[in-house]
Amino acid sequence: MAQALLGAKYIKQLAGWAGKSPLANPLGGMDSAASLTGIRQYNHHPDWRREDFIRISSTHLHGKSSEKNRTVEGVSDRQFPIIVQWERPKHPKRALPGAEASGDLEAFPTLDPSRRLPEFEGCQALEEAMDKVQRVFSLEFATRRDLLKRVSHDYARKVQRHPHDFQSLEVFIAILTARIRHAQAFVAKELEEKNRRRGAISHVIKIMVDQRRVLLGVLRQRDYKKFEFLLETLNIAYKPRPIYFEKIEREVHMVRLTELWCSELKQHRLSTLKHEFKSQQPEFLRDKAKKLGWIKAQEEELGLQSSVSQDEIQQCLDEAKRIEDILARQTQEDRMQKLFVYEEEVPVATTSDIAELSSS
Amino acid sequence: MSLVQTLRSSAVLLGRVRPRIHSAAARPTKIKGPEYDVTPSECIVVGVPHLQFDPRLKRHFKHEEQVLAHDSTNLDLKVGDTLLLKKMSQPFLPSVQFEVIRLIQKFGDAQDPLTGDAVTAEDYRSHEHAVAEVYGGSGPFDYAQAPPRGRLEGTKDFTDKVTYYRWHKFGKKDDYSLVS
Repeated sequence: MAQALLGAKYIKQLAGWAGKSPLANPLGGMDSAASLTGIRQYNHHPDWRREDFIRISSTHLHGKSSEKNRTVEGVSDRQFPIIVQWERPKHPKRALPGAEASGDLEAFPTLDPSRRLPEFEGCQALEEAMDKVQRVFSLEFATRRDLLKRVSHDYARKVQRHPHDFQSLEVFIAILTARIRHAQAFVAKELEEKNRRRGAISHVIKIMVDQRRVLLGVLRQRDYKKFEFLLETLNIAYKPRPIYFEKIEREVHMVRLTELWCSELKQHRLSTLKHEFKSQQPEFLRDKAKKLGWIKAQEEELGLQSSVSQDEIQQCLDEAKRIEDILARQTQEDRMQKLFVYEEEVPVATTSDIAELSSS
Repeated sequence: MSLVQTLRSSAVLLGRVRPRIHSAAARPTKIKGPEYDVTPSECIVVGVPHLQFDPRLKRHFKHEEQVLAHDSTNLDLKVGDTLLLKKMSQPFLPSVQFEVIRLIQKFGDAQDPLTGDAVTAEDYRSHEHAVAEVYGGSGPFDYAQAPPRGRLEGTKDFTDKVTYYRWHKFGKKDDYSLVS
């Protein structure tokens, strides 16, 4: 009980400190004892002005802040030019075909009209029948649903384990791809751009595409070679989703882009400097070999014990040749290919330069 | 404290190969990730699963820590393979403190540890083949003659490197980025 009372007294004292201005706080600033107890009265105190504690963020540097005309001590008022312009990438719908969206690298196939539905395949009575009857049972008068049945049967035949297999995982994936491509073709050809059903059907396609990606992932875990065989035969691209969802935001990614650009600028300048030094090395090594040879000759003339061997001279020459070969293989374009955003600045010609050029 | 700091040298760990980060743009922005931007060429990323204690809930939770491992072996390691790691006494780089000892199991190509027979997750491959023969012959896929894994990497199979949401209209094309 006594401890509890003491504690209450102690907290009161801290609250007293917290009420005062932070500058008057004996413990100072944010690390005060009041913040430890969880009392945050000082935030609402009139003495505590928010302006004193505004951090200099990237918004100030980019000039996008609402407080553009505010002067900050130690920071220039000049608005910095934005060197790399951030652009929001376009997000096509997942229902569309292609490697970027649904992963289908092939469209719904156009069928030979003389073919039959799968249930009439190998029917002897039909083969003996009249031509008109055969024509009625062909795909010439088939509905869209019939075409889908035909294609999904064809796809299943390509991947199934045995002729009676219509339930395995790979066959289910094959039938799903037929359904996806069928719906994609329908949306692209039959419906107008502002049709109401377009959105609804593409939502259903998206659901099927997601389901297929999950099933492909399961097959990948069970049997990798069959997974690759399936991608090849059905012509699908498999891209797993990233582990972390990332919201694309203007400010966050603009900062990230400038950081990336700066790091690549540093990388590029260092690599050019290294290239410059490296290109001076062969000349130096040849000079060294020449001087070593001179020393060796002098020592032989004077009858002294030679301190330089022939191997040492040869080593220098070999090294020079090796470096030259490496430099010949490396080009400026190769070094630039490693960089993602940075492009070398082209110097802008001034009016005086143009005048000089035209006169000469 | 991370797992790497607590271990002594020559400690052995079990882990799985994870996709490598191939460019600085592919690293996630907000999540506290590894200390490197791009995975070094001589190394692989390995996820080490272990239990982490939550002091508030007083319970252990599944956790995976990603470490870099130096791969000097000639094993053709692919994403998902299970392997054994060992902590080096002298690190290869400051961020690379582990080395690969041996491969335990290939991902998607499992074997029965007792008999050595090939299995899928559900069944023996030999049994699957026998069932197919009863139904009238096997299909177009032949496991014995199938080429080794990895021929579709970068064209149709994009699992070997990290995929990411594209956050800028980059001039250069990257197949491992997603837009939808």
